[in-house]
Amino acid sequence: MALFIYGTATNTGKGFFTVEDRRAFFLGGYPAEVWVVGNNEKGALWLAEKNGVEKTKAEAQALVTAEVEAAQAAWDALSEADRLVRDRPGPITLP
Amino acid sequence: MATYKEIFGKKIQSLASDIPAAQGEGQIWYNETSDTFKTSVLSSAWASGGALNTARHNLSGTGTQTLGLVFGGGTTNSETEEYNGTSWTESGDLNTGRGSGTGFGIQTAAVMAGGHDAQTTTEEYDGSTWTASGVLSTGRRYLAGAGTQTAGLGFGGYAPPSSSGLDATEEYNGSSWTAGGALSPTTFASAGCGTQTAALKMGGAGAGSPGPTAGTDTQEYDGSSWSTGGAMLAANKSNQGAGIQTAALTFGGNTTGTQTLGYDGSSWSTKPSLSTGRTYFAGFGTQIAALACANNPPATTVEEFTTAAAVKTVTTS
Repeated sequence: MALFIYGTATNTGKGFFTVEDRRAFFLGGYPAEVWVVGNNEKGALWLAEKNGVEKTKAEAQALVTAEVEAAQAAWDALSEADRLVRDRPGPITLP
Repeated sequence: MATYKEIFGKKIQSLASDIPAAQGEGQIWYNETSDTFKTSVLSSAWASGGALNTARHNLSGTGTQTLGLVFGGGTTNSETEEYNGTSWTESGDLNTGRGSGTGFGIQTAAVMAGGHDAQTTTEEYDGSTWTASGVLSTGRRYLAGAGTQTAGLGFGGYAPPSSSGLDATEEYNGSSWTAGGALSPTTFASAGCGTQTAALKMGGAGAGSPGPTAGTDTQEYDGSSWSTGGAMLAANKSNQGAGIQTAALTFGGNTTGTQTLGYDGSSWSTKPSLSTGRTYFAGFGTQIAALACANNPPATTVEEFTTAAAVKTVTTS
């Protein structure tokens, strides 16, 4: 069985994920509103309750990569002085 | 021979209901109703907080988890928002919109100093309006800060076109800045917290090639000079901090993303991670109740770090 469930969901702010959620299952937030949650009953229920759209790992990774590439392009457009003190966004590999 | 009860006085209490979590920390008791042994333990976690109204990065912030304040961002953002523990409300704009400065104080008496390019600008907030105040002697951005509106501290930073960090420490008295003890090693994009006479610098960047290099360095300020504290567990920069010199928290950052560490005045320990890696964001509060606001690329998302006692059932597995 896969360790994680992948999906997209809009972060609605306070209460979107709680202390109890964090203790009940793994939860990681990534660019493009991609969420990775532990593959257990509580994790699956959380994604469903947030009107999340489940994705395959490949689909979720593609969304994250596209967002990272956009951020990298924005960094490339910075002045040399700004680039000196701000790291270029690195690739993100979903767990 | 004396019995255990005679020496230590009490057996495990047998109670009809649980001891309140905050009072029961470290105790074990028997709950007659549920027929279980209970205890109360402290635990921490990050949860989502109310979203900012304006997405941004390189903003500054100060205050507490229930009386928070963020301001500025990017290169020219002047927006100020106040947090009540649930939601953010827009307030008076900065007179000089800017990001990459430092903020300290409380929600109704805050300071923003420095900022984009290498600004000397200092502004004071009174709960509704920002007013210009005495300028920094050394203009800079990516400096860190600590303290209050009448006893503040700004340290480190970076003044382009140089790509090296600064050692300049300046003390603020509510109207003007004066020189403090030099920071060593020179640093920018570190986290800061504490007071003017007991401040903490956590990590940050030093000169490197091809880009700035993150460090594990912790420095403690006593009101006149900096001394080395316990090294962080991982090198980091653009991280944020909360708390005081002997009970601090640092979180997020370019190098470790979601990592959260706690400091007890001499050494660091691992705390529960943020859900989302954050850089060039704002962080403040205390070691047990902190806020992490926004992100880079610009975002409105906020996370709240909470430490609280909770009653747990003792099981054998």
